[in-house]
Amino acid sequence: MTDDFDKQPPPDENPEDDLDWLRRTDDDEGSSPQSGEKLGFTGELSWRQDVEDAFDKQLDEANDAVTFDWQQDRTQSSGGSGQSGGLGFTGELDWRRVSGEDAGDEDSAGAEIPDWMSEMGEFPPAPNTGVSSFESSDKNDDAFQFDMPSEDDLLSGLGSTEIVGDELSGLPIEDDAVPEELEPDSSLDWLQQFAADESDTPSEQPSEPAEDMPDWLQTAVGTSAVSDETAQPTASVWDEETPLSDQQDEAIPDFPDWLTSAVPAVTDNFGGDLASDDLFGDFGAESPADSGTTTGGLRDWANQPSTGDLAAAGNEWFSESPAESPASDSTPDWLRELQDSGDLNVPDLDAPTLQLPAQQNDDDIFAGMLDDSSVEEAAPAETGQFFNTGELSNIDDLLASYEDVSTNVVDQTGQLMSMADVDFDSILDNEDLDIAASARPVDRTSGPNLDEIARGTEDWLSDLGANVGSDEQSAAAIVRKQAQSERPLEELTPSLKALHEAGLELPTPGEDAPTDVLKTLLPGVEDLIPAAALSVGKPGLVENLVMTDPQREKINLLRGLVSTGDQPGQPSPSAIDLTLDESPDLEDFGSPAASVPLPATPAHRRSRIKIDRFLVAVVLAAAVILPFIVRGLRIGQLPPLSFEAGSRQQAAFERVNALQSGQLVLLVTEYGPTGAAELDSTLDTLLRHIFARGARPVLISTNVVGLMHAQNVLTYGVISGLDVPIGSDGSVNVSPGVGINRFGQEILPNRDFYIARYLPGDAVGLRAFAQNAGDTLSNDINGQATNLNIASLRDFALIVVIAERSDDVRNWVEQVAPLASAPLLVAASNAAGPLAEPYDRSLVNGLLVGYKDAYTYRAILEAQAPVAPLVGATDVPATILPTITQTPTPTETFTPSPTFTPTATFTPSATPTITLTATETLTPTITLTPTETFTPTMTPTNVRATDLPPTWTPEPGTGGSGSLLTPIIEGVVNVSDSVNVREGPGRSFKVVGSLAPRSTVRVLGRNDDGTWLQIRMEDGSEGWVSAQFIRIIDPSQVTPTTSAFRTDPVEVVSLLSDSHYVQQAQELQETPVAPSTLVAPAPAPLPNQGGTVKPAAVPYRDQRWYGMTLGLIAIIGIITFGAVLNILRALFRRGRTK
Amino acid sequence: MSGEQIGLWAGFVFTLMIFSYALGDFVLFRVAYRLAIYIFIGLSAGFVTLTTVESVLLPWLGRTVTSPDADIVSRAVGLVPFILGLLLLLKASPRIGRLGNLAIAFIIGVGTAVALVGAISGTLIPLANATGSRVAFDPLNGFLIFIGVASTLAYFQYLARRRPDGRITRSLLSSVMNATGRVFIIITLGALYSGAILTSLTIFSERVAFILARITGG
Repeated sequence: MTDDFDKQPPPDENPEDDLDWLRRTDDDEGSSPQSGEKLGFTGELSWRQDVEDAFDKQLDEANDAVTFDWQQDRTQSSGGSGQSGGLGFTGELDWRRVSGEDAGDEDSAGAEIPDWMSEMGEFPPAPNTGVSSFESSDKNDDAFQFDMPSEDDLLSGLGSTEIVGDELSGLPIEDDAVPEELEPDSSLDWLQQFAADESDTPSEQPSEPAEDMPDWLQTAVGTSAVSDETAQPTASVWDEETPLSDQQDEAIPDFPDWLTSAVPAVTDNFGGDLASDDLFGDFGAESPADSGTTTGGLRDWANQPSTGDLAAAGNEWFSESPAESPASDSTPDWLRELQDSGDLNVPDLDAPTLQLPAQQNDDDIFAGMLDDSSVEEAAPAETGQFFNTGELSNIDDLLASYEDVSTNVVDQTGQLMSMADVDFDSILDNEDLDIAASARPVDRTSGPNLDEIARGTEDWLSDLGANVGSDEQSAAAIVRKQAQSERPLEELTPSLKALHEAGLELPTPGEDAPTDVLKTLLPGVEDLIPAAALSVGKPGLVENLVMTDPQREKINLLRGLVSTGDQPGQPSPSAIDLTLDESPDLEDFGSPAASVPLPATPAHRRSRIKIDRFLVAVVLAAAVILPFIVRGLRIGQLPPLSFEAGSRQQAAFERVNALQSGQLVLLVTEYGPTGAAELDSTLDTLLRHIFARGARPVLISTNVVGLMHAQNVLTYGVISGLDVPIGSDGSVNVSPGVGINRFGQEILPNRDFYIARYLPGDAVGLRAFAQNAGDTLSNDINGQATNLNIASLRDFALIVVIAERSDDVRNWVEQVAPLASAPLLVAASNAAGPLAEPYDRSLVNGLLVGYKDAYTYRAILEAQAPVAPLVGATDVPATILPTITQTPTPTETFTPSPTFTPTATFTPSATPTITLTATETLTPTITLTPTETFTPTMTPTNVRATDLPPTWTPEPGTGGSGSLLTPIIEGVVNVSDSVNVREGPGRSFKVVGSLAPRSTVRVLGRNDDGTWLQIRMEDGSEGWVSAQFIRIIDPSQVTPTTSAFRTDPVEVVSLLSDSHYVQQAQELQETPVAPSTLVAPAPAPLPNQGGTVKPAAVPYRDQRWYGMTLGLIAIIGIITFGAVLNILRALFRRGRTK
Repeated sequence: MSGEQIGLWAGFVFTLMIFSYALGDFVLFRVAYRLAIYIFIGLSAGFVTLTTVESVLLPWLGRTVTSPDADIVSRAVGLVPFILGLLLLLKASPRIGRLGNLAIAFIIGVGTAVALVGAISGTLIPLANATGSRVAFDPLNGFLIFIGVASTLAYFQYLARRRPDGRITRSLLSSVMNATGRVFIIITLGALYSGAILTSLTIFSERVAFILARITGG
């Protein structure tokens, strides 16, 4: 409808006329940003652009051409699907949308709105239509709501736009009015016949109804004076023409009597208020701009829907009056006939008030009408509020003077569709309606059928006055019209009752979409008129969008998913409730039309304590906590004590274990307090291992809080945990954050470890750091100089990334690893582990995931090397490192050699110089003499003699003289799987055998870093096996036997854990055993170290694992229970429904 | 009581305050939970701000703008980040907020370029090579990996043919690959979900151990 309105303003010859405000409004709309533009909806933009273009084009053409070609365009467009409809808008929405847009230009547009139009603005807002979700309280909007539909009502009152042309073609049928070359459309013959039949003028046409006339119209003509719907437009035209008849008297000398006589009958059923006002409003608005007479507006209006020749004919016919009749004072005959017949209650047609000047607008006309006393006595106040205000109330008065107007018409709304009342019974009883009704249901997949149905339903709906747009109909409008008539329900026919009930169920804007109404009332129309994508309202708000069913389903689903229940007054149901309430029936899974169900009802307010959530929390908490307390609930197995051979975890351990003293390790701590509970144990263990290897960690992070947390772990956790108790009571006081290395020296920052500044910039910052690490590492987190001379990342021996998020892992792998030659290890949380796993070993050389790997790593570390106090070993003398040679080989190191030739010291017959008794031999000075026998670099004070086996049975060596005595070291395979035995110390060597789980081997030696052991198997074959799989048996528990080989006692020391060392020392002190032939020396304290060393305690380490296990079981149980309950509930509901 | 002990007990109390969220909407619990959250967020924000100023901004100024050894070019370059930062602050104003688009464009452009290069060289190519080599090294697993990768990628193609009747159809091969890819995606998401559950359990168990240690003095 708006497009009609915009397309049809006549040429503006007088820019100061009343119509100028309207065009200016359009201009303003075009220049100012519209709501649709803000929303970014192309539909409205294209629509508007189209309308504006068409308007401009027509305006130009109208100014240039004598014949109004733009009217033809308009007719053509109205014949098919209108623009609005094509864009997915209902016609009703179209004009209302424009009204809302006009509201933005209220100041400019409203300033020049005529008074009568301003009065319209006081109309109450349109009620819920069920079609549009638009609600506007804007005054101007209301004015437009009235004004815009008035023209369309006018058109729709004529039926469809085609009908307008058809019926108007019957008006200028006179031969002198129609040019010869303009032949009337043959399809309109029925109307011509009808006109001729009803006219007093002799006609050659038969008196009976024409054949082409619709049956229903024939019936109407035959039964009543004039069919409501047929005569209504005609009556509207001529009813408004009446006051102007004095000017048209000569111009329309042969006005057909049939039409004159039809006026009273029309007014009987005339909606009165709005129809007339619409017409007058349109009439008055256009008249001054066009021809300078009031008939000009009528001429244009009448020509708008006409086509081609008919338009020209009608145009010419109408235009005769102002051109040929300059303000005649005589009252036209046809008007007098009306007066005489009593249908027109105007006492004095010749009154001066009706003798309007050429430029007088409709306001003046109505003002003149107001002077009539009979009008003042007419029924006043039953019309709408709009018509009771200002001068327009005169229209009501005037119309009320017509017969039966006041009794049948109650204008309650002044809304869009309130126009001439209709006789629903007669219309719904006609055959066309039955045909249209029989067309349901519509096959939506067949487009042509829908078109046919649309054409079939268009006429009767249009006749019904259900037009909501230029070319569209609305069933809701029918219902509204019925509601406006306020007829008692008892008087309605069943079909109208059904319509009435359906109308009562029409949704209010915002509660439902109009597509549902269309779908319910008019199947098939939904496909013809796609759901409107937009309605007027605040830009960007979903509530103002009119969405299709799938769109609304998705929106509801998203709302349900993201709902947190934090909205005041709108608590969201729990996840279990959602799964239970919204679960589809099982049969829906097999249906291709199955879709996500909508929440049937809004979430109801529940108790403040969510019982289900509370119960789940209680069950889960109990499952995790109880294993800490109840030993019987500690189900499951602890993590293994070693990594699987060849695994990435094993590779990570070996990488750290291969660090050399003084090397730098870049330790990245990409986690904050949220991941601390999971990754702190990993960081703690790695730091201990790095310190144990004598390397120096450099901590860095892109997480500010994470860096601070890592600093706390290092200073208050790891280092403090390395406090060495010393003294008579076995304890020593060390300040928190101060650790003591193996030599009793204080561990200091920027010497033994470094905490760098935090890295900003995420991936970009990492890239910059990778390219220039020196600047970042020049100062620590406190701004102190680190004295690190880092040229590039190649200066690091190892990079370890501890991260709780996969993004951090990816950033480091992508940005840093390609620029660093050092191996990269990743220690990730369980959540980030799956995304860190796919990286190839070439990028990620080792991987530790979650608490489980941290547990195993710690166990290996404790089993193979002292956890404390071997830290901060940057200044450890090289001589104390538990190595003999850098590249030991079994043949070179552990084969009998001249350096191990039998001496008096180790011969079976003890020499007088050595007394192998517990009281005499427990001195370091006499235990392992001569020192040069083993290695020149060793000094007696550096030898941990107490680690030696307390006793052993001297055994003649197999080589040499057979007098060699060596301790026998045995180990047990400490994994559940078999372990490979290789030719050399490394996985690159060939596998020569395997060891069964729990099998015992004899340890012959180890490599320089202690990660591989040389063993001899039971069959006598020798090989190398990874040290982590072998647990060294306490030599004190081994039955002394003769050894066929010799080994370095220092190696034995390094292979024993401190716990073994402590136990062994205690046993020696308590039960010294004096072997028959040789007594082991007593343990001697290391320099600067206490007599007892305990590893840092990890509280509830095993209990945590048991708690996690039971908690996981509980979660699985809860989820399973919920799923089963869901299925049972759905089945129960399904059965109850059936 | 030492400062360390106070910190430990404060951690104990805050842990219980956070756990009160599980008890629902009781006013007491809601206040306790939100109070703890506010404190944590406030402390974190303050710490981040101070650390950024001390560790990033001031050192940068010291090396560039205020450095006595810096030349004019270095000083000018040193001001560029601050100018961009100031432009970002202008985003708070609706009138002149557009000036901040320059800084945003710079950040997004550089960030995207760096991320793209890193993703290609650090993830896509290595993973493609690994997938290919896996096929030859371990045919069965390699085949599964290849199928998984290919079908998952196929799942994210949205091209289809619309028939005259409006139905959208795909070829049989595309449909099969689509369904297979969906299965792999489901498994992957399931693995991620299980990992998240394990992480939550780990954190919870650690907190329980911490609380018990506080209670028992361990």
